[in-house]
Amino acid sequence: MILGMGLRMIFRMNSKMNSKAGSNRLGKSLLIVSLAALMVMSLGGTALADAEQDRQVREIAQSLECPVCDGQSVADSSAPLAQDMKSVIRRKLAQGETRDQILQYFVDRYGEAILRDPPKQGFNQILWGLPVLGLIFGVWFLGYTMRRWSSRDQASTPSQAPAIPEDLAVYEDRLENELKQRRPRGKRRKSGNR
Amino acid sequence: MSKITLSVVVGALVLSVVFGYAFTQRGSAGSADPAAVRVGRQASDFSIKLFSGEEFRLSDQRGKAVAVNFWASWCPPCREEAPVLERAWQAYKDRGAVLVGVDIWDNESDARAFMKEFGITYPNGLDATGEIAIEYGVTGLPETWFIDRDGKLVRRWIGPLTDYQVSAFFEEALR
Repeated sequence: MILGMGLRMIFRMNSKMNSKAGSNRLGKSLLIVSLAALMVMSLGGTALADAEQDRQVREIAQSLECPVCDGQSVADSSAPLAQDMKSVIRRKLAQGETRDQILQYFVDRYGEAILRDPPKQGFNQILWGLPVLGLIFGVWFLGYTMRRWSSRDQASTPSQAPAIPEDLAVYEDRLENELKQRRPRGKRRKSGNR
Repeated sequence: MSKITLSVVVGALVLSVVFGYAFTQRGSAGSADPAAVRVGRQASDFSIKLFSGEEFRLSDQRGKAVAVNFWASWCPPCREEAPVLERAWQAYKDRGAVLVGVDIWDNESDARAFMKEFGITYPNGLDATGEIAIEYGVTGLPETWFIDRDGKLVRRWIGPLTDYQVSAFFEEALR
């Protein structure tokens, strides 16, 4: 349509120019240049549309796990099945189907495992929620452990600790007494031997 | 029991309850098993141009027990299975059973050579775009879907079939 409008404009301009003497050559050149420009614009538009569709195909294929590959997306896989799936995505996009409709089409045939990001419902909700639960538990456990450590440190501060030297004094006294008791016996044994 | 042991036990109990609930909800949310997604549903209609030149349409087979076998000439287990399927075809083709081979990820000349090698006479065609395979959630070869007389998917088998398995299906479906 754009090409048609452009052509009509050029022909109108050209016919006006033709009415003036000596403008024939200029008119022809202008016509050729304009036609070339329109063709380039038209081709560029098609290329842009193709690039946009390629981007959409890739984006959807990235969301799908290749069913016959190990941890690869359909976009990254060169397996025949992945190639066929990309063709199906392209065809469905051309038919006007949305991203969600296309993803649902594959889920209906291959199950939810085909989605690289499982939806946040049912069992998957737990998978999404587990890291948060783990974080909450981790923070609680850290706090609990630190509280225990700090209370143990307080219990062993020097102001409440003189119990140890006292205990030591008791043991020292006991040791001294025992040594005293043993010494005379040793002397007796020595003198007896003489 | 110390406070920390009690916390761990309570935490484990809560997690068990949560996982238990999640597993019971799993069926309604969908399943990782492709067979669970499809078995019990109405088989999607498809048509395929056979190597004989005729057109095969699944919906035309209503009232018959149908086995749809996906295969390729380069697939070693398909070679193992080919004589089994031909024997089943010979035994059940006049009793209201249909067997159709859908050749995928293959080229026609190799497929024809394969059929000649194994003397295959049951209907076969090339799914050049792989769309029938995707429609049936095929993940590997060979793979066979069994469809009852009402057009409902009743069984799926991944891997080469044995004489016993094919006969069991057809006998049950044709009873």
